[in-house]
Amino acid sequence: MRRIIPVAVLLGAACSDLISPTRVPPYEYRQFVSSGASGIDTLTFRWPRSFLPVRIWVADNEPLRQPILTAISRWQGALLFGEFRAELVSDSSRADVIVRNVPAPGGIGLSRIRLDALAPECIGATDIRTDGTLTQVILPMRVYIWPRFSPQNPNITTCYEITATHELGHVLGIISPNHSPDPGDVMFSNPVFNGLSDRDISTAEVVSHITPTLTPTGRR
Amino acid sequence: MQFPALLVIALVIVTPLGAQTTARLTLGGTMGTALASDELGGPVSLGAGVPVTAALSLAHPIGTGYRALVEVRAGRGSLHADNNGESSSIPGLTTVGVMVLVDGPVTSRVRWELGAGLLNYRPAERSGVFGQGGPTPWILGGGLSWTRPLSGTLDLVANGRYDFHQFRSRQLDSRGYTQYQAVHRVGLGIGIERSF
Ligand SMILES: [Zn+2]
Repeated sequence: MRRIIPVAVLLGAACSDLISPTRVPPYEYRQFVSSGASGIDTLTFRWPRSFLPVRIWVADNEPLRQPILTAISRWQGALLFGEFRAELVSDSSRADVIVRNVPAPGGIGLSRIRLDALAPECIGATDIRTDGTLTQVILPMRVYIWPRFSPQNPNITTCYEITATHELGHVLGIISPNHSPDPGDVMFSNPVFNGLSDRDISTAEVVSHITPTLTPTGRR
Repeated sequence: MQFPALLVIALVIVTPLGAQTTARLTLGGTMGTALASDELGGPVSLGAGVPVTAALSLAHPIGTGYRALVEVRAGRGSLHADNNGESSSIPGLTTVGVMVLVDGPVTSRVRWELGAGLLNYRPAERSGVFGQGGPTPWILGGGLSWTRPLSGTLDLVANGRYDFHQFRSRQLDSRGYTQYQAVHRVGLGIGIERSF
């Protein structure tokens, strides 16, 4: 019996599997658009694994650089199975996502999806250009994050972190313009939470495993 | 316990290096089962691929036919993710294992070996399951070595190794995963063994 117990313990250890956590339900991540007489079309997006790491450009001397790095680290850490990886590139002409510290331009046109964020001290917007058939995302995506008031506001760095994380959530594939209904999520439309909630993470996990209707094209 | 400390203790066990001490260096590869798996719209898993592996060991006699070995085994490769059949790789995963083993004769040219130690995962970037760094689990292993004399003090050696450890990282902990993932690995290496 004394010999059997350690052998049984060893065999048990040799066969053990990780047990997954219980996940909270995701919020809406899809975009619904009118498709003429036929009704409503559902748009979904995620990055194909062959596009990873996603190339992000942000100017070296911009105050957004560190917030974008924080945002990348947060979403990469949230997705445990390599579903999303991103890196900063020095050449904007090779970028899949271009981030600028200026107000978003007006007049986005019909073939663009604009997703906003209105944080207390700064504003964010992500523009995703689609083709006419609404089956492709034409790269690069463009992210704008800029101060609402003075760029010298003492809370501006925190606001940039919140908004960079929010906008990168859109880049990742959370493209519902209705956002999360909960202020405890970074994907709330007027985000105040500086991090990722359990709901943000479970939504990103769902998005990262869908069969998307939109695929990226035009990578340079 | 940190690796340098374990290595120093292990080296003290086999020193002083006597006339029959042997050093072995092998190069090869290691294959392993998944480090983590889950069900996210389908099966997803993460594995260490087939890293190139180098092993350096020192052996010292401890009785008739038996030897104590201290081994450092390092592997360098990529993490491989499989998401519902769509695969991707995350470059830059190093593993460093330190083991204390005992070996003994099977035939004149073949020896068995059995031991335990620690295996440290060293990811190039803190992301995914390694978002809060790499774990250092206990490792149990054993194998067979075959040698063929090349000269008076130099032997050709081929080594087959099986080892087992339980994987869980701090990032998996913080996300609510429980229990451990049993990881089984098989390694093959070829190299030289020299007596001093
Ligand atoms: Zn938004």
